[in-house]
Amino acid sequence: MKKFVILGLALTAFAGAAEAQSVSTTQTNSSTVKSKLNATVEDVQKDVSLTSAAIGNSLTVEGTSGSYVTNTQRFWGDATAELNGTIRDVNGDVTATAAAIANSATINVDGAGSISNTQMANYDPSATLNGTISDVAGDVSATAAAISNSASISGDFGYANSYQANGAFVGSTANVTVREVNASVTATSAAIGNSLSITGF
Amino acid sequence: MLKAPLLAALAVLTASASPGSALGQAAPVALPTAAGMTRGYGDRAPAGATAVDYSQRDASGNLVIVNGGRDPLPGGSSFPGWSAPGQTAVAIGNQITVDASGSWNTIIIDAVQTNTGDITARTGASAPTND
Repeated sequence: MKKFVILGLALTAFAGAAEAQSVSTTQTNSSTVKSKLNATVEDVQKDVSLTSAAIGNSLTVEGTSGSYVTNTQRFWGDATAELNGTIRDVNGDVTATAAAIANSATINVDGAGSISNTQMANYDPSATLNGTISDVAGDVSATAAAISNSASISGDFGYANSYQANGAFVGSTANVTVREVNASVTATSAAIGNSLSITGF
Repeated sequence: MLKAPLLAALAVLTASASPGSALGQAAPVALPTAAGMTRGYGDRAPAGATAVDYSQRDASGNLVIVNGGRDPLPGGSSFPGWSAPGQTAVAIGNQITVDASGSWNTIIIDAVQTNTGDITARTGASAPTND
C-alpha cells in the first residue's frame, strides 16, 4: 500500500465534550500544491491502494460544544494531483485515487449555537489518473476527483451559514485500462465547484 | 385554529360509535372528516375524505428550507454526469446536500454558492479483449 498526500495547510481541532468552546479559524494559501505518484505494483497477495492527493486548505473540527464555529478558507494557488499507476497480479482489491481539493472543511459538533463557513477558491484544482490494471481477483475502483470548495457540517447546531465561491477551472480526468478482473470495476471522474453537505438534526 | 379539525374529528368518532343498522336504524349518511375541512398547503386533491397531504415534509416530517425556498436542491439540476457500465464522469458547479435523520425538524439553510469557473470531468476507461 502506498499513499502520497500533500496538504498545504491542515488543521484538526478536537475538543472534549465537557468543555464549552468556540472555534474560529482562517486559512489562506496562495502557493501551488502538487502531488504526483508514479507507481508500478505487481504480485500482491492482498489489497493494493494508491492515492495521490493535493489539498490547499483542510479543516477538521470534531466534538466541539460551544457557542459558535467559524471557518474561513481562501485558496489562490493551484492544487494538482496526478497518479500514474500500473498494477497487475493482485489477489485482493485495487483502489487508485487522485484527488485535488482547494478548500476542505469537516465540522462535526456535539452542540453549537451557530456554524459559519466561508470558502473561496480562484485557481485551478485538477486531478489526473492514468492507470493500467490487470489480473485482479477482487474489485477495482479508480477515482479522479477535483473539488474547489467542500464543506461537511454535521451534529447538533442551531444555525448554519455557508458561503462558497469558486472562480477556478476544475478538471478531473480518469484514463483507466482494465483487463482480467474477476469482480466489479468502477472508474469515476468527478469535478465539483462547490459542495455543501449538512447532516444531523 | 385547531378547534375546527378537532371538533370535526370528535364528530366523526362520535358518529362511528353510534349504533349501526343492526339496531334497526337507517344506513348512516357519509360523514365529513377532519381532513375534508382542513386543507394543508400543497394539497391539491379534490375535497373529500382523503388525508391531508403535507407534502412539504419528508416521510419523517422534516421540513427543509434552503435560502427561503422549499426546494432542497437549489438550481434543481438533475444528475449532471455521464455514465456507462463501470465508469462515471460527473461535473457539478454547485451542490448542496441535506440529510436529516431525525423527525419533525424545520431545517433552515442559509447558503450562498457561486461558481464562475469551468467544470470538466473526463473518463476514458477501456477493457481490451483478452489476447
